[in-house]
Amino acid sequence: MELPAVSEKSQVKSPPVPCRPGRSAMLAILASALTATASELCLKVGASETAANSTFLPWLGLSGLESKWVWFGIVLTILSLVAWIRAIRMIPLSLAFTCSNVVHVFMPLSCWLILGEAISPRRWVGIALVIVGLVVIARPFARLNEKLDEAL
Amino acid sequence: MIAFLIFLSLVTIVAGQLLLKLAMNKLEEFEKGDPRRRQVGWIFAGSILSMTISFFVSLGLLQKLDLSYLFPFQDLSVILIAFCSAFFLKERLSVTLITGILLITAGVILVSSS
Repeated sequence: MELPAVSEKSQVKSPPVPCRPGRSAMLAILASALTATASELCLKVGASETAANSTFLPWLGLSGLESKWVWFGIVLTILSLVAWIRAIRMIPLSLAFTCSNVVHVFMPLSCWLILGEAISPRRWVGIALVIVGLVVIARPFARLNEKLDEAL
Repeated sequence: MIAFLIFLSLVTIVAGQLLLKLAMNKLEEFEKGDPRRRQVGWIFAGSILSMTISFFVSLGLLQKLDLSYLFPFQDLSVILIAFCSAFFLKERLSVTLITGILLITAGVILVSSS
């Protein structure tokens, strides 16, 4: 993940940060949220498919491993984690984790688009509130970019 | 039992995220070749272990309960992580961030309760 092109001397002066950390962190969070949404959908399908199967330690949900959907879900979770690690290398955890709530926008929307589930007016209001909250905390990101552009 | 499992999934997710960020911070802090860099691996392993436990506990909960019942508890993790990263990782909690967290929490409650 280190930038290979940076020479050792300049690395001492400035840490290896991508040129637009705010923006690339945002993109990484977005990628992580999209894969997390897909994985959650897979896991829910897999979990309900295998809910009746019993194994030892039933509260661990290990019987879910019999479903191929759960395995898709695991692969997507790992991809999501990789994108997530990229994101939190660049910005504080409190900020990044709050932004990861964009899944709560993607989840109902994907259920609406893919599974054809209806979205109630109350849920639309909730989605709107989440988006407003995200815009509020995402604005400092944009300012961070501007400041860095000026400095460079 | 359900209450304990929900509590366990919360603790493991918060611990996993905090340890992951701690590992990344240390990676940044120590130059290559510094022997202290070795502890990063252990912290990272601890974080992955914690998240794996959280993953299977949540999967078990998903088999028994509705997603809409579980969502509000997942949302609690946002608030917990914000405060824990301020406390343990010395991150600054700005007014903007807290405002955003409150708006998002309200939104998520509406999304999951309808």
